[in-house]
Amino acid sequence: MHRACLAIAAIVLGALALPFFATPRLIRAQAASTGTPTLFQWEDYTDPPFLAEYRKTYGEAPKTAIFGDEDEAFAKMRAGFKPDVMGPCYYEYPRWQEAGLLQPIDITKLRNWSKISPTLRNLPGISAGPGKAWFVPLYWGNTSVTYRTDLAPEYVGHESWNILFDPKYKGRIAVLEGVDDTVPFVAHMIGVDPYNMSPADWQKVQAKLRALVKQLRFVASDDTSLAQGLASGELVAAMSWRVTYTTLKAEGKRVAYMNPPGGVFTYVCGLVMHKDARNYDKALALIDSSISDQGADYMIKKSGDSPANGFQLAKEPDAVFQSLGIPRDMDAFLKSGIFQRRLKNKDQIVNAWTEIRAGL
Amino acid sequence: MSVAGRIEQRLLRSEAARNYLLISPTMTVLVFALAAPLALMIMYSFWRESGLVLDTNPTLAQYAVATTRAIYRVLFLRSLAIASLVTLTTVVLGYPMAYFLAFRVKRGKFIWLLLLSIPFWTSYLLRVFAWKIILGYEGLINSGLLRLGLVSQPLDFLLYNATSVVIALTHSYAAFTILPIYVSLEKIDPALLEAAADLGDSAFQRFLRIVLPLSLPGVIAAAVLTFVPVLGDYVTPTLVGGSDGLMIANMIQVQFGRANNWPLGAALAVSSMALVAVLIILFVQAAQLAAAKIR
Repeated sequence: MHRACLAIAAIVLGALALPFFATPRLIRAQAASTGTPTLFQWEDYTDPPFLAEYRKTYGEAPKTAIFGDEDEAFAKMRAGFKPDVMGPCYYEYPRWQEAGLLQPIDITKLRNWSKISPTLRNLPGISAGPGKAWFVPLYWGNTSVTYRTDLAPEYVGHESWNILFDPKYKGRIAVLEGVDDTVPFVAHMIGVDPYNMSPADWQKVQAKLRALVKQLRFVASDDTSLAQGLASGELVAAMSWRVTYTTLKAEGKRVAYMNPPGGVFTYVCGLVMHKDARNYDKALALIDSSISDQGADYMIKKSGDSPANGFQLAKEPDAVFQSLGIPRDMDAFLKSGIFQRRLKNKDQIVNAWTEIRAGL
Repeated sequence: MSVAGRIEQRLLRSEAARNYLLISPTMTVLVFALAAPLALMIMYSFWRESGLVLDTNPTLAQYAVATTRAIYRVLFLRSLAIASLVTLTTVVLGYPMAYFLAFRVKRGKFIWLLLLSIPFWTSYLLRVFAWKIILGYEGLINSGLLRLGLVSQPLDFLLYNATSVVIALTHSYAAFTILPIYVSLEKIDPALLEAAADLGDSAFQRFLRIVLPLSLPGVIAAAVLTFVPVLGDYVTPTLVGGSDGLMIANMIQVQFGRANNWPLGAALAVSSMALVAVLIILFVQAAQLAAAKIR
């Protein structure tokens, strides 16, 4: 009697557990046969508007996976995860290319390629030969300083990134954690080219970073804490992405985004294709779908980044440009800024920045 | 009888063999899930990595870096200080709670224990976030003080330093301290206390000479259970630590993530483990000596 009960319990548990073991294999088998591509992107960029064109063409939904930061994504792919289309940024994808994870994209087959702004289409290094590219720009944004105009009125009209070093606001400043944002920013402030630093230059940048850390309240890895800090008055100024400014502005806070004489930094993020993509044409369609007008329209309304698809942006009324804080002539604006690209000796820089952040 | 049959019979007769057979499923899991990754990590600590290339020639270079660079010394010491402070605070604050539960609560002990454990039904991350809300610039404490008119500007030293890390960790690990101490207090025979009272001991003397020494195993267990995880915590320093509150585990995480230097991360981790092991052994010996002296 007792043994019969145990046997039944074991069978029931086994039956319940079986789907967990069987399903992944079934899914993989199915995927392998039809080649449904996987989109490996930042959060927000796997939303339906980016997949709509693909769904219309192939009648199926692509699979999606999200990453929280590019190092996590890189580690995951090196450990064997094989997506088809990925969404790194311009300063990050060369590392993936060197690791042998990418294959060139045939841009002649992309319907929406010509809609991308010319400046972005001609970014240095993304071409893989005639008619091919390693990297298809999807959106761009800026890194500059968002500040409270009511708490720091003397900077209105005299915008300068030196607000971060103003002793009056010690303990009320915040910066972003990523070395791709903070280190070029600080280097540019002391007149050093962050992408061509000599050892002497690097020492100067480190000294400036140490001075910066003394001013900080905290270092943020995402823009939500910066936005909250600025909204509550805990922070007076923060080195942040444009999306922080647009979020606060939409809530009616008295903030401004600096556009100093030296120009602002521009980050560009886009799409690359995995070298082991199961179905090349479907992966191309997925890329096309992301850079489509629908995706661009959604971006403008939702995520606060500006689409690389200038065609769609040009159709928007002036009010949209004002809320984003960018001029109508996207190309000219992009040319006036500095593109954030790959830092040399990044591992060394990361180590140094972590030590400086810890107070040394 | 066949050879296989004879071996099987001998196996089943030997008690040791039967015991090993019983725990073999668990042992397999433990070996593969615990011992093998640990061994791999120790191996990693003797290698080198630059960019995407792993150099597997054994070298002590990573340990040299881990022990000589000032940042790691500072962070080790800071982590030890924070962990010791948290352990001390949780034990000192948790002991009265455990004592109350063991000796003063007569009925419904289970309900009390359940209520005690309720904070731990929520995610660890949410608990730390809750402290951010309490200690924040526009948080509970500051809003309250401003509203009551006790301060004109919000206090900014409550958050983003080592103190907030200690506060958040003390709250997070309270249950790990209270429960072991409660268990060892529960086991004390009340007859001993009655006998001591009859023989003329005051309440305080009873506590010092009977309750405290008998509960020491529980206190040691609580201290170890709190010290070891707190030393390796990296979530709380990230969220509420600011620059002052960073701990050694944050550096280990950076080496395994952004800095892409797994061998150095492994060396730091193994060094941490060795350090904690030595400290725990010393602590347990010292505590047992103290217990013997009290008796």
